[in-house]
Amino acid sequence: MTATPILEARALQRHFPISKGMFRAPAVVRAVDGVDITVHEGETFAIVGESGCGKSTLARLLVRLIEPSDGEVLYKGRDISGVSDEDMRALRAELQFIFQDPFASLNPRMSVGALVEEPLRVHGMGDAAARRSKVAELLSRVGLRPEHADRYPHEFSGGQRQRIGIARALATGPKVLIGDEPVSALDVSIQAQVVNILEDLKDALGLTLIIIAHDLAVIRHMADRVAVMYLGQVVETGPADALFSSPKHPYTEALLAAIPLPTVGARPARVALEGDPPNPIDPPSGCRFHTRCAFARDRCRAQAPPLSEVDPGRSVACHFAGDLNLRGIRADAAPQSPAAARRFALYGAARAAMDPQNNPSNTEETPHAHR
Amino acid sequence: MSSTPLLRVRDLTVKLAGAPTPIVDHVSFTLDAGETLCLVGESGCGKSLTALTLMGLLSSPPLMRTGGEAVFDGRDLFTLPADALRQTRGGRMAMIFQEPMTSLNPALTIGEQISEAVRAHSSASPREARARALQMLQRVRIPAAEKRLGDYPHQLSGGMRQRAMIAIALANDPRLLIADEPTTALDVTIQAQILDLMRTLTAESGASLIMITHDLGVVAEMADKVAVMYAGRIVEAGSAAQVFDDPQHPYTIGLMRSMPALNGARERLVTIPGRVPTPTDMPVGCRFAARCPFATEVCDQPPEPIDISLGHRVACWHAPLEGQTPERAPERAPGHAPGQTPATVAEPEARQA
Repeated sequence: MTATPILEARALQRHFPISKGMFRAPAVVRAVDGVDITVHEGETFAIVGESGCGKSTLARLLVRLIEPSDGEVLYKGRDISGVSDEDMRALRAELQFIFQDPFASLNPRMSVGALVEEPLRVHGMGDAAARRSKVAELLSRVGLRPEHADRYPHEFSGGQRQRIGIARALATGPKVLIGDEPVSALDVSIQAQVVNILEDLKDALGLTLIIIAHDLAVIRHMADRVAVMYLGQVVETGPADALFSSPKHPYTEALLAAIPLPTVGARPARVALEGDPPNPIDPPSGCRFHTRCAFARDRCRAQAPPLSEVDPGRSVACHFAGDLNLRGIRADAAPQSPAAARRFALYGAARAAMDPQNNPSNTEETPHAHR
Repeated sequence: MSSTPLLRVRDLTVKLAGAPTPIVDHVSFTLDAGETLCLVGESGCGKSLTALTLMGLLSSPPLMRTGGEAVFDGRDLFTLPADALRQTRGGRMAMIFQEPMTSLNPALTIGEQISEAVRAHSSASPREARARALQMLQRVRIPAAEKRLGDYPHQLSGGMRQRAMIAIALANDPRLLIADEPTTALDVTIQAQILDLMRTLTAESGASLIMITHDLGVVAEMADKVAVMYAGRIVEAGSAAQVFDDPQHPYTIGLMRSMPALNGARERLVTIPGRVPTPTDMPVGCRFAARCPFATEVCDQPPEPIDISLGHRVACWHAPLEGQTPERAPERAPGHAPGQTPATVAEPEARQA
């Protein structure tokens, strides 16, 4: 961990001015309000939080799809918030983005081949023949067939489109892949296929993954380290195992307690979080979570807690982080019945026998017949 | 439990114009008073269509109910005269939807919309209806309910809107509430609030609930009974404990295995290969066969549902799966080489079973 982090945000801010009407002073949404995060090479880093917490804005700031209001983003130690457009274009080959909605992010007028080739052309990589064979290679990497290159996005299902989006993101040989809710729009069985693909690609290509998600199960599965955001700020960050099993911030605890576990009778006595998150235009004073926090005291209303390290590698923004005894999700939280475990094993065995390469994720979905 | 169920659906079948095979195919289930049934499955499995058909909300054409009956309170909903149907819908049975913003009227206040529902089903005066609206907003725990009566939907947060929808649905004290993915659009902490609220309110009023969801976590939390749907058919049904602790259908098992575990077991996800067949190319036999690791020739015939135990029914030729050797599977799958390495997750004991 002594190596230079591959990506780092320092006191990063992004405020969006919004007009409240002709005769009123414009207000400011503090979408990202002083965020520090550090992402190490080769890890999967997850950013989690509820709608409006600023996680998508943060993701876009990290690759400068939008400009920060203040603070800096460091890629391999170099501040990229000030670099010229031309330099930034070169850097973008190494920092790629996967969008949530595979229906909205692919140009319907372009064939899949052209879509995947586009980043190569933009970055002037290879001649036409080299690009064509690269496209074929990329498609097979994500479990599609080379002949799919001649088809158009509407002929593909959601899961296949997300694979196309991934192939496109991989075209320029990126070092960092940032996914904004990359599997949220997909059905569970398709989601599992895409999660496996992302993990395979990460291993095969030595990628660093940054995953933005609201689904805590997906994050638990994929992430090495996690940052939890609330109203534009990181409230807790640490290794996924530690953060899920023993959260240190009351908001993290509440998030974990809210997940419905897929086991009958497993429902924990809930740490109910009352009400809705406050408006980011006018966040509460002091600790922003104090209006919904069961442990809030006077100090929390007056003074904002800084994000500070409580254990090596774990930071929490809570005045009372050391005093609270919070509950996470225990390893035995969702026990399997013996019958279910037996069926799972049978299914796993049969499933593995089904795949020639013993590589389930690369199993193609059959394409839509074009009508 | 009374001997006659509140709702008995038998062989409900819905066709899409132009598609040869039904997209809801002989769906049958019963629901007792006070029970919660979860219909679970992925996009296109027919779970929402089943609910819409029961509510008489099928957009027809292109969709047509071609068979089946749904006896609610002793009367078949599908043969009910228009008047009686109108009284039943929104009265004795009510529905809430995934996206409250599209099902609430943006031009009417919340109070007006609840009052409207009340007056459509009773002779209540405007004043009485308004009092009822206030009472309902309090019951769904909307803070400062009096003030909220005058709010328009856009002034409420997503969670509050869903509470308002629930208030409208429950205003006439229905015996049956149908909820179609009511928490899918909500954040996880708000989802927890709404699930708690629905559980409390149905318990208080003794209403039955049909909950449509794709989330097995929500099912485990809410359901007394579960019906797992795949490509228009119920493939497995039983009590929540039966389905979760003793899953029988390969699709049910595959769906459970596809979910990332929350307890930190970070093994590779075991997936279901391929995807759901489209309505225009449904197989004649088992609709899951093309994706099923256990499928054999017999699966070209529609599977006869069998009872595994009392109340636990599964539509699979190979259930129970014990005794089915996984090695047999590749033989029937064209293009798949047989004799591959057995799975990493298989335990010797399980393979002998």
